[in-house]
Amino acid sequence: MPESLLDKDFVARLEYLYVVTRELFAGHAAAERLSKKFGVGVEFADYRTYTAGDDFRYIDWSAFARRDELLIKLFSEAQAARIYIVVDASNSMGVGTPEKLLFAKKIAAALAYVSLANLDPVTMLVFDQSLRPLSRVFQGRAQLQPMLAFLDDVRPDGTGTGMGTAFRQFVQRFHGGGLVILLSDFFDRTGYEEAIRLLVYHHFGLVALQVNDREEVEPSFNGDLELVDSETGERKVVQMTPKLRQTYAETFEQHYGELARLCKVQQRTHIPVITDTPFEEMIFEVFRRRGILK
Amino acid sequence: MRFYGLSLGTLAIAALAGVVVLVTLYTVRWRLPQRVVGTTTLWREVMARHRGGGRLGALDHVLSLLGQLLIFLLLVLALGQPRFSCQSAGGRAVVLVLDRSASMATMERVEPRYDKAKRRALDRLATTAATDRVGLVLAGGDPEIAAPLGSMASQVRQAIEASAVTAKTGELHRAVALACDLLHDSKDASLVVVSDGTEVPGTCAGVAFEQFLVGVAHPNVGITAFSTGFPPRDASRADAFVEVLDAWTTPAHVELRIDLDGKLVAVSQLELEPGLPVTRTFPGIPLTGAGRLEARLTSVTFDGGGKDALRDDDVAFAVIPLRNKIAIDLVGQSEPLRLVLSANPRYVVTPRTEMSDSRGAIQVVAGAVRGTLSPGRYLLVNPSGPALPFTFEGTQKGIAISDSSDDHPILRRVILSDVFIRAATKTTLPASGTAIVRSSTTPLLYTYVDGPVRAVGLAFDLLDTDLPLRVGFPVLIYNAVDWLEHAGKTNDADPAAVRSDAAIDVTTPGGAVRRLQPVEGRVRVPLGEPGFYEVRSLSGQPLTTLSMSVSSAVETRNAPLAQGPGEAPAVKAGRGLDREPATWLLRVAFLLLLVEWLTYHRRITV
Repeated sequence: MPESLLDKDFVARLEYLYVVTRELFAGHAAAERLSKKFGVGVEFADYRTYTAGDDFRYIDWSAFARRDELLIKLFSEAQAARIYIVVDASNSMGVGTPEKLLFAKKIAAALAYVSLANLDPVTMLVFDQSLRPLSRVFQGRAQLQPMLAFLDDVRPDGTGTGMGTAFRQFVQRFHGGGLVILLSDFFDRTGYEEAIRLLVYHHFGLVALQVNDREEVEPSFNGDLELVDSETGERKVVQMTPKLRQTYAETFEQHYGELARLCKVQQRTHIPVITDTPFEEMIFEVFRRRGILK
Repeated sequence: MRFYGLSLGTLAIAALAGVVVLVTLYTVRWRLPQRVVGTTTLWREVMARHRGGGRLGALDHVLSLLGQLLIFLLLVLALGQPRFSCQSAGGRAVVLVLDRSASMATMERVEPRYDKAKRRALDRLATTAATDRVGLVLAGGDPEIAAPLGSMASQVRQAIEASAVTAKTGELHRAVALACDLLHDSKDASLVVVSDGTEVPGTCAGVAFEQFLVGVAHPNVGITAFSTGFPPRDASRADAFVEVLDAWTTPAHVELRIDLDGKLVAVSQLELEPGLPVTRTFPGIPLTGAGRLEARLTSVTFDGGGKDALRDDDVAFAVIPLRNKIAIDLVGQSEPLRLVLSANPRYVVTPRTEMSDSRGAIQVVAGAVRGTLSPGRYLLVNPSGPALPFTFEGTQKGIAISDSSDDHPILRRVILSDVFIRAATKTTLPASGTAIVRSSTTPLLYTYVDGPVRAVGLAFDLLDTDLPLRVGFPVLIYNAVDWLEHAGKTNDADPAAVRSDAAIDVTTPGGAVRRLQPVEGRVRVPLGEPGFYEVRSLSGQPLTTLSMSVSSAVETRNAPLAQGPGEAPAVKAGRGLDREPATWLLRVAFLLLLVEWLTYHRRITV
C-alpha cells in the first residue's frame, strides 16, 4: 500500500526540505534551482562583450558609461535538477528485519517527494541483475501517489546483483548528468566499482546509500549454522566463535571501507544506513547532517 | 600385534562401517539450523581469512572429522584388546599366592611387610592382560581361595586390598598346592608367589613359577611355644611351658611375664643367644577365674642395638580348661583300677556291684558285663558278655603289640611298646569300634562310639600284664577317662571348632562381635588375630574360650631363608611393558574427545 511508505504528517514535514546537489545541471524545465546554463533568470551571473545580434535590453549602460565598452549582462537560468533514484531490488535486499528493500523504498519515497515538492523531475529505476525495463519519471506534488504505487510494486527478484550491467544500461539511456541516489546493499564489489566510475565519467552526481540489516553488521548468532545465500542458494556452514566474529567485522569493514574510499576519491557521497535506525531520525538528522537534504 | 578381543577381520568391518557412518553424518549435517543471508560472499572471505593461507589451512575444515575418526578408530582398536609382539601373550591363567603369615607383620623401615607385599601383588596384577584369567590364594594356616580363577581382575584386586595378616604360619607349600590345583587345566599358566621367603614355597609342575620376595631380616625375639598342662595328681594347679627364641644375630635380653586373667603370676629374666631357643616351665599356676593365661615378652634389648620388629610373636595365649570333679562308678573287683582311680583327687569314685543307668558318671567295669550298654560312657577292662557289641572268641596267649595309634589322646605320654601281656581275649570289633593298640590277631586297646554310647576297652586282664606296674598305667587310665569325659564337648582334630547346633556369638580380641552359623553341628571360629576369642550362645551364656597365638619359630625367624640382611631380589618379575594397551588407547581416545569437546563447546577454534 502506498500509505505504508509515507504517512501524511511525515509528508508535510518533507515539504520544507530539498535535495542538495553539488553541481549545477543543464536542466530541461524551469524550476526553482539555478543551472549552469545562462538564460533568462533573475540572478546576475557574469558579463561578456557585446556581439552583433545580442539583445539590446541586456546591455549594461552604466558599465558603458564607465568603461566606454558595450557589455552584455548574463543571468543564471533557474532550471530543474534531474534526480535519479535507483533502487537495488535483488534478492539480497529481501532479507533483514525490517526488510532492507522496504527500508530502501521508504527512503526512496521520502527523497522523491522532497524532489517533487521542489519541482525537480524524479526518475525511478529498479535493478537486480540488470536494469529492469520498468522506469518512470515523476514531476510535481501530484505525482506522489503514482510514485508511491510504483515503489510499492517493487519486489525482490533475480539470482544476483549486476550493478555494473545495470549502470552500463543507465548511462546509455540517460544523458546530461543529474543526481543519482543509489540505494543498495553493495554486496557486488566489482559491480559497484564499475557503476561509480561510469556515473562519474558521465558527470552524474551520486549519493550511495548503503542499506544493511543489523545482523549483517553485527551477527548475533552462535554455534553451528548453515547460511543460505538469498540470491544463489549457496550454502555455507559456519561455526561462530568470538574470533570468527572479529574476522567478520574486519572483513565487513574492509568491504564497505573500499566503497567509502572510492566515493571519497570520486567526490561522491556515501552514507551507510542500518535498517533499525528510526526512519524520521535518519531523514531529518542523518541526511541533513550529511548534506543530502537541506 | 595380536588381538584377544575382536578378531582383525571384525575390527576392520567395524572400523569401515563406523567411518562410513561418521563421514555420512559429517557430510549431511542434517541437524544444523539454517539462516538466509543477503550473500555468502562476505562469509567466504571471512572463512578464507580465518583459516589462513598455510598448508594446514586446507585441512582445517576437516580437522574435526579427522579427530572424530581417530577417536572412533582408537575405540575400535581398544575393543580388539591388542597386545604388542614385545609383550607377553594374553589368555594366560595367573594365580597369585599371597603370604599373610604372622611374619608378614614385621615392621619394615616405614610400613609393615604385608603392605609392601600387597603392593607387589597389585603391581603384578596390573601387568596381566584383560584376557588373562586371574585368581588369588591366601596363604596362612589353611590356604584360602580368596578369588577363584576368572576374568574379574577387580575381584582379585579387592581381595588383595581386603586381606590382612593372620597369626598363623604360612604353610606356603599347601597354598601353592592349592593354586597348582586351580591351574591344573590351564595351558599357559603362571603361579606367582608373594612372600617374605621365610618358607619354601614348594613347586608346581607345568606352570611358570614367579616369586616376589619382600622384606629383609630384622632383629626379633618371640615366643615359639606356649602350652599348659596338669600335674596328674594336682587338679587345682596347672603348669605352663614357654619357649623363647632370639632370631637375630646378636644376643638379646628379655623379661618373660606370665599373667593369669590379667594378673601377673610369674616373671623371669631371660638371656637369649642367637638362634638357640630357651625354655621355661612355670609350675603351680592356680586354676582360678577364667583360666586365661598369657605369656608376654617385655623389655627386649639386643646387644649391638636394634628394635624388636615383630610384636605379634612377643605374646602367647592359652586357656587352662577348668577341671571339674569327675564322677566314676567302679563296677567289679580290680585293685589296680581302684588304686589308680582313687589316687586322682579329681575323681569321685563310687564302688558298685552292678552297672547303674546314671548317665552322669563314667562307669569303669572290670570283667563281665551283664546286660547291654545303655547310653553312657564306659571304661571296660577285659570285658565279656553276650549282650556287648563285641564278639569274643576265647583267650589268646603270647601277645605282642604290633601296631598303635600314638597320636590318639588316650596314648598321650604313654609308651606301650615293651609292655608284657600274657594273655588277651580275642575280640572282634564292630564297624563303630576302632583299635588303638593291637597285636597281630586282636585289638588290645580300642574305642567304641555308637551314638550316645562311648566306650574304651582293654582286651586283657590287668592281672595278666605288667602294665599296672608301669608309670604309664595311671596316665593311660586318666587319658581314657579324659577322653570319655570330653566326649561331645570339643572337636579334638580342630581346635577352632565348637560343637553347637545353634548360631553363636564370638567376641574377637579386638572387641568385635561376629555371629557364626553352625554347619553340621559345628561352628568353626575363624582365628586370625592373636588373643582370646570369647564364644557365647545367642542368649549370652559363655560356652568356651579359644586362644590364638603365633608361637612359631618359622614366623619368628623373619629373614628370608637364603638371604642375609638386604632386600631379596624377586626370582622373576613381571615385565614393565606388560601393561594393557587397550587402556592406553581408551585414555588417548578420551583425551582427544576432551580436546574436541573443548574446541567445539568452548569455541577455541572454528
